[in-house]
Amino acid sequence: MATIGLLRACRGKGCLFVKNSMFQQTLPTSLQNSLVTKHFSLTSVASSNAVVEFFRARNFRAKRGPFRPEEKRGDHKMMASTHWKIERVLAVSMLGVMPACLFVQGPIMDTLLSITVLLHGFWGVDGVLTDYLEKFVPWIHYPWYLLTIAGLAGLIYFNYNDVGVCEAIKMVWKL
Amino acid sequence: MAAMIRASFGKGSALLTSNAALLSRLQPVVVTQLSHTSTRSQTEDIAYKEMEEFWDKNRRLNRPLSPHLRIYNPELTSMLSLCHRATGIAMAVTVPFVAATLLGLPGDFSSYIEYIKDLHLNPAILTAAKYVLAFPICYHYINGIRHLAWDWAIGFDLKTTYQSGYFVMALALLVTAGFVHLL
Repeated sequence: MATIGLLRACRGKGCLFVKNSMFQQTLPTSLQNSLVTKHFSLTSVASSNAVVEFFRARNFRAKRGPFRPEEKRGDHKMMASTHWKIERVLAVSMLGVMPACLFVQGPIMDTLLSITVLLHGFWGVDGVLTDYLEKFVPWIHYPWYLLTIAGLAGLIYFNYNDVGVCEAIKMVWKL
Repeated sequence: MAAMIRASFGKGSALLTSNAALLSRLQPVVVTQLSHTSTRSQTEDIAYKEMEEFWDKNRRLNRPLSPHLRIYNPELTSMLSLCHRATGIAMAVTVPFVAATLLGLPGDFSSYIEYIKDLHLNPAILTAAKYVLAFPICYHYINGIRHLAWDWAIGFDLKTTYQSGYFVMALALLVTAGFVHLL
């Protein structure tokens, strides 16, 4: 680990060890030349490059790594592994809830379905946003949070004042 | 000590034995002390800083990235995983969107069902719509079981992955057809 850190500490100028004249003298010249960073030119991969060049020209500053652990953690205190475990617990519970809603309907099943589906969907899309969009649009999580809250409000209203999701699915399927 | 380092370089195993000596010769780097960094060594801090500078240089020189999605052949594994993500996103976005819209729109749910009934659509269109509604949930559920099995490190080898992949896709299509035509 420290070895690799040491190798990286050569600041890309083509030396294998620390910037110390004593060490650089011991390197044979052929080895020194091969370590110099070369500038390589763009090799065209036909017209599919056009898309890449479109984004590059507009300078979408993607924040690509390396991310220190503090940067990745953010503000929350829960360990990522704990959150992952909670996600799996919810997924396993949904394995039971989904077939059950075919046989048992009612207000309790409505609430159970709404909460599990919304929560599972929220964490799933959150992961997708973190994977692909966060590096381009860092604030993308907030609109998704709002949409989920609005969806929860809509579903609670629907379950309380309207027919409820189980009945609604039955009505749609009878069409 | 310098002579020892120079001599061990020739053997090719220098770095592992002379780390402590070389570390003491590193140029000092100012690192802002955050909490939770007490367990990180100075070398890691330097490594992170080096990586940042490397990426700044990449951006400055506008270096191209190697193609990946454009050149890799679609495989069953990647296509099924994409399908899992796509169906998941589709459902996760549609449910809150429809729920929030229904919250704002006038009239209760039955009136909208009546409206669709009054359109007198071709039954084929309704069946197709039911397929579109049923397939994501069936596929995502069955592939979800496959994913959970992987999370318990079951069925990870390539042969099992391919077999379970074909099975999942076939079963999802069957169950979707069952839901549409039998329920």
